[in-house]
Amino acid sequence: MTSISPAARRFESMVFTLCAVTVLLIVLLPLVWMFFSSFKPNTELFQRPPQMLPRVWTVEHYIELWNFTTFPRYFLNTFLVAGIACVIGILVSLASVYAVTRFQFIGARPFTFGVLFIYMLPPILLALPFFRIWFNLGQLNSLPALAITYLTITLPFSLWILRPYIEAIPRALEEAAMIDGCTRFQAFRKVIVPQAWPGIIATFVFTFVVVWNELLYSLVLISDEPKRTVSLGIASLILETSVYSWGLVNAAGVLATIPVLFLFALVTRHMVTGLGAGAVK
Amino acid sequence: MSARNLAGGAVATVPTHKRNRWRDNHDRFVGFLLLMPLVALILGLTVYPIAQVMQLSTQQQGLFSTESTFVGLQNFQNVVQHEAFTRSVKNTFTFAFGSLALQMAIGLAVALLLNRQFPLRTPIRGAMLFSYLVPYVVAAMTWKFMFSDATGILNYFIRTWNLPMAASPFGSLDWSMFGVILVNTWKNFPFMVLVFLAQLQTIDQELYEAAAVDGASSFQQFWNITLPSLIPIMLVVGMLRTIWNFNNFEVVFLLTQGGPLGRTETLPLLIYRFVFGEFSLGRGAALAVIVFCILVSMSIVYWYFYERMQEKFR
Repeated sequence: MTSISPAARRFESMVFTLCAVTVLLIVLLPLVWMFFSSFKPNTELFQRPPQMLPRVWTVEHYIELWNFTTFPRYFLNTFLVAGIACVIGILVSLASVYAVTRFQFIGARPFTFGVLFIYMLPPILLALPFFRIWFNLGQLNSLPALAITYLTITLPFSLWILRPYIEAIPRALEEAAMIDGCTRFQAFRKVIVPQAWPGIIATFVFTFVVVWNELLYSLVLISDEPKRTVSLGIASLILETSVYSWGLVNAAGVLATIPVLFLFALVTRHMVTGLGAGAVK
Repeated sequence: MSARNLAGGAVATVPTHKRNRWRDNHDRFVGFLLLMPLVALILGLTVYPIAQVMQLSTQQQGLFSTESTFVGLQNFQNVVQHEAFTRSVKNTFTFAFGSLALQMAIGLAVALLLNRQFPLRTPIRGAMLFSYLVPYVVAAMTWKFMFSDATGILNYFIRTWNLPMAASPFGSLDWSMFGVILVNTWKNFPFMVLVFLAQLQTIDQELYEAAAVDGASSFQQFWNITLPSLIPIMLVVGMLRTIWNFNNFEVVFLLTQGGPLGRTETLPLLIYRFVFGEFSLGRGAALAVIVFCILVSMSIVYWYFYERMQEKFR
């Protein structure tokens, strides 16, 4: 092998760092621009040539967003809807993954994992009948109905991410618990759930982020202003108004991004494996 | 210990094989119960809605009306003859494959870069995912902002440096498709990076060392070691991404709403227009069924190639 001197190697790794940082800056530019713009007073937003950093930092857009728009309500709505959809999705998936890995049913396995094909369906294909179904039931503009609709997203995700965690738990563990007098349900609650806990957290974060980011279903099912989700709120700001108050929109964008990045940072390692293994949207 | 004693007592009264069968059946019943919620939800949330779409596609049906008339395949005929149909099919393929090509190329380049050893690699890798994680509305908003006439930073630089590109691409006849592909690529290429990186890490480093000893250039190493090991995963994510690009609604809807003059109107947007713009649920459903059929046939073709490539690269 050709030998490389330590100095050359250090130089090489510095070049790579420089390249990577440059690529990263290009990739992040839109988000960085949004972040700084949300702190600029209106006059600076229209300033030419544009400056990256605000000369005067202001939080007026955030104050306006909080006090004079319905956005706080949108955040609450989205937290509720995403929370409900994720928790139900996880409970149902836990039960069914457990059943499929512990008992033999003809067709259960293909069925459970065939659920993944929901990913392949165009969301608009499902949005149409859902509009019709909730219209017939008088449940348009209902947040619980929206949460149920989001199960079409959270269920396949949860099944996919939870399966390897549950499969990895040795059966001897729960058998030991049952021999010691636990019922199957107790064994499930006291053995399986704690063992799968990291997987459950990862699944929660993951499905929560996906629902938080979703737009189409809320666009189709929700039209009442106070019932909007965050995505729908921002979408209507950029679609309905022709003269934008960009400071306000940027502030809303920053606030909508924070929960996602926060949750991601919380479980980075699980997220990365989940993303890679699950090959998900 | 007490449980074992109890079991022993039971064995004394009930013959062993009978008791086991009872226990097995009971267990199977529990398992069946555990599976029920999923079965019910899938039937209610997927199978029934799809059946509903199929049924709607044969009806003349207003969006907010309870009356409907059976019209057979009339809706399908109307959709296919609609002036926007052929254009939308073309737009959808341009959008899906244009985005795919860019996502693949950029994803591969960035993955190869991040696969090297250098300081700060882990945080840079994490931050590279940001655009994939932000909501579509945020992605669309910030790009629209950067290209807007009065406030946009990119708009300003395109004008002052006289770059050969529309300063506000989303409103331009010639650049709107490029604009939506650009944003879709920016949003989704980290997915490719993630998948490729995972695959790159499984390649045996000794292969490269052996190749270097034999005097292979780094391009030869890439061509003969790296690329072949990436091809199977490229085919899989290529198919997934094609389908997801094909189905994507948010990017185009938020940036151009299909405009200007239908230049970026893809099939999901046309369905949306039929249903929520022209209030014809029947026509929208018919188009949704057509899209579904296109997707299924595309998957079959893809699968055929995938199997053949698999054999070639095994």
